[in-house]
Amino acid sequence: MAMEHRVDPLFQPLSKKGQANVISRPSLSNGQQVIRKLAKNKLAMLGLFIITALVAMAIIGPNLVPYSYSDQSLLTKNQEVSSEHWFGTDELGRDMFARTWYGARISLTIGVVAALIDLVIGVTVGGIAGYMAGRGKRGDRIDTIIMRVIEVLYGLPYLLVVILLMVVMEPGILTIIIALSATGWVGMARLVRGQILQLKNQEFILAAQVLGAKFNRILLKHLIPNTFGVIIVNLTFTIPSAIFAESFLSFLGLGVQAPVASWGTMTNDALGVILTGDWWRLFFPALMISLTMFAFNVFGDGLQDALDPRLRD
Amino acid sequence: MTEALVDVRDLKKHFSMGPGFDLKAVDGVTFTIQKGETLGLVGESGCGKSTLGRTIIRLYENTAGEVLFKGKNVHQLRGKEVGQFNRDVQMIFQDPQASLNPRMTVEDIIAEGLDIHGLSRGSRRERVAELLQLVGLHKDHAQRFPHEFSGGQRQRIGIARALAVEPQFIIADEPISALDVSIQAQVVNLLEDLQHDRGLTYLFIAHDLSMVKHISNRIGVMYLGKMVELAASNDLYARPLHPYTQALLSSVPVPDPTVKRERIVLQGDLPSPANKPSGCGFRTRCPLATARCAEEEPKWLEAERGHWVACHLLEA
Amino acid sequence: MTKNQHLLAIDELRVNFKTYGGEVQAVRGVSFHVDKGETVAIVGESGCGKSVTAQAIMGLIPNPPGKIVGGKIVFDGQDISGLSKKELLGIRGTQIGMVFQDPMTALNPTMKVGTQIVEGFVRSQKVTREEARQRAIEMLRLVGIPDPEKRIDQYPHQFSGGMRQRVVIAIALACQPRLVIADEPTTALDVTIQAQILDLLKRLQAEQELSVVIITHDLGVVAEIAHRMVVMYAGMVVETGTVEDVFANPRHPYTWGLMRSLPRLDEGEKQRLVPIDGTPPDLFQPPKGCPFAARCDFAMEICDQQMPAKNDFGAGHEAACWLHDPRAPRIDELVAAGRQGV
Repeated sequence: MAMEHRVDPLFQPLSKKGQANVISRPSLSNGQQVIRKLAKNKLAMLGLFIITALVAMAIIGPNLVPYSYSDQSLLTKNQEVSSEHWFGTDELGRDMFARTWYGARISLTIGVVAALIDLVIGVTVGGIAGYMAGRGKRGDRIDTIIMRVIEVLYGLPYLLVVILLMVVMEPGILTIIIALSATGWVGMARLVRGQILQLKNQEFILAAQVLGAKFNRILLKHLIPNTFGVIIVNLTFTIPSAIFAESFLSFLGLGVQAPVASWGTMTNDALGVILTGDWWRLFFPALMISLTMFAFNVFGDGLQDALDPRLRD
Repeated sequence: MTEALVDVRDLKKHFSMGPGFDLKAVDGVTFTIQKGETLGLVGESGCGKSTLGRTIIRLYENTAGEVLFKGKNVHQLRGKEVGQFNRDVQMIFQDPQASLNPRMTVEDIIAEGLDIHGLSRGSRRERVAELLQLVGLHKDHAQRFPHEFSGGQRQRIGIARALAVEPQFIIADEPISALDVSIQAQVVNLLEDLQHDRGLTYLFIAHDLSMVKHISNRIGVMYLGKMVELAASNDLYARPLHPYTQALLSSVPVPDPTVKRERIVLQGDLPSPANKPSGCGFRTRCPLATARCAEEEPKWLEAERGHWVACHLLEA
Repeated sequence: MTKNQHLLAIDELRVNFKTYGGEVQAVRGVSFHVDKGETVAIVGESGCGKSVTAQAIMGLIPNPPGKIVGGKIVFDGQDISGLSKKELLGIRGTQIGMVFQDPMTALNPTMKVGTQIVEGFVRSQKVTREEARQRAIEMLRLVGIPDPEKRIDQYPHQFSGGMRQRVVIAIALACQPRLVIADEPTTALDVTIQAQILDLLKRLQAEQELSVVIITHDLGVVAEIAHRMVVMYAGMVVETGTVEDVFANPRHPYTWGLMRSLPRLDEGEKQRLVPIDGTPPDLFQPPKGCPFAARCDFAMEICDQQMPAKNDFGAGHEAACWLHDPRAPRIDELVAAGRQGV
């Protein structure tokens, strides 16, 4: 029988070969990947929701009721939660709802501003220390000096600094912000320095040096952008920490002064409710402080997980 | 005799680990690299080959000795000369993961050299597209991020980055060690093609002897901070003179079960460069060590034409 | 149990991993066997599934996210793939020992070396403390660590990389297992140290009549130490056979490709390396046909559509490739037609 030389069509050469170097999946920048991962974390999303809600209420809350935070009225003092006063009134007849959200503005502002100042100082100082370390004797000396300063400040209790500042300045919002930032930046500085030390030995930094990049370029284009993750996560932890510190200071009477009200002062004013039973005066400010702390912390946790490259797939 | 492109003379690089205690990573190395050739550099952990590469390219200051590039001492360059050096000499790194800034697009990564030296007025995008194609990638890859690429592709991006400034001399520091076997050949072929097309000179640092022998014209073998042998690749393989080279060659497993060889299996561990034996660094593991080896360091001599060794046994 | 029974027989093993991007089919129908006293090498590149296979044998797949979704792992006649963690503990360490890749992380840095060796067998065998200690010293001597009486009380950081790997081997052998699985045991070591460890493994295998499964990507190591080899690609076995057969006469284009892309020390006249173009396929949505088709110089239409059948070439040499189907054009014709030849 003659050999059939025609080849079965199934065994013809494959006409369409997959292109070798094509990337099929759509481009996702680092940022987008992180957001995606974060969105899957229900607890973190809850935290984000609470933060957004608190900020929104801080903005519009006081305008939702016809009372202002400082309107006093002896007629309506110490009233329970009702349809007229959703959070009740305090011992001077002031509406608690308006006060709570007014207090939110104060507390949140102080917290965020102090945290941002911490960030700017901390990143700069930490960045310089981290970059200078190991760059010859001069660099090491700069790093050592900065580290010693940080260690000293770390040990100082901020309470002491606040009290000292009180002697010099009038107690108030500005004083608190200065007091909190004066010692608060060290945490961020240490973190940033550590991250930079770790990054410095990565080959992409060496590559930039080999290409001829100078100090500024390496710090700004290579080191700092890769530290953002650490910075932002730390920010989400320093904000609640600052808010709590402010509440604590105000609680001690060292914070903002009347008639300005923050959650801390409101809590302080409401101490006596243990005896008088008007629970709403203590409950709402304390609840807000707790919610804020909780929300920022779980969101920060989620953010940290989302940014961790090892946990990524 | 034409001047060598790179001339290394008794180069030393020591790291201070404490008072009176130095890590002698590179401890007196002398060799030259001719224009257009590929010099391979092999050795095991602690031999100093990476440190040598980084000292040549000015990532480290030299402790003693000198490196001359086109006749000029690289550690004494000033001003504009430094910029010129950065364009003439480039480096390819080992880790495809860590050698690219994860937050920069491929375009920015490749164009960095152009940006630093102001080489790309107006044509940055085109230049990057050219370079991507040159290394076998696609111009659409420019807007993507490193994590979207495989290891082999990332190495290509690293090569494109090095080529952007049009160097004459490239130091490749373990460029394929982190890649899969079938991808290594892709990258090696690319490097060879580029060399052929552009007249590049390479210093190829690696620990895979088979690959180094394949790509290099000459090979230098290092042990504990010193070069122990230097010869043309075929010569080194056919007639290794130094006992360490002989052991190293015989340790490399050959992918052929029919080849049965007499293997020299060295006893003991690799000493650490922080704790070098007196005299010849290799004597603690050398099957042929004599008393003299513990007292005196062997001299670096040209035993045969083009074939250098440092070993007492060969000093006639 | 018959005498001809394999010590270890993997049958159509399938392992999946749940990741955020979907389910990855890491191992897709892998079959091979290991007999008493032989060394079988599983070769492949990263992502081919060789490490996952080894971990599956030892029951070390973290669940979640991984899961054995099919097939059998028959050790000494018993299917161990379905065993609970507790039941596996009895087998792992006593019958099957494991040597991991990185000697730095395989040892507990806060525990003395002697304790780690003893830990292995003290649970399964009744021995006094003194007997256990003597056994541990013997193990260290067996793997070639000098001065074992002194070194048994040292910590891992006091050993060099190569020595640590010897300790890891000692731990694996402490219970006198019948099978040792070594996952890239020499990849992290320098070449002269690698030679020492390979020598050690060969000697131990001969002396103790061990069966060894060695996972590696280095064909040189395979040629040096293995009797038989299993070549994996994209979660599947593409070729198996004795080392002599497969090296002399590779039957799968991937195996050809691997061998052509390697430089050889004894090359002589320099030959250009022939790489395999492209990269391994995405295991989220593996192709329904042969996974190598996209990179194969000889791919045919059927390769894209159907998984190739296994072809038997005698003496246990098998390859899964459509080229060996009687309907496929002969290889020499393809070569004549100008396509890259072997």
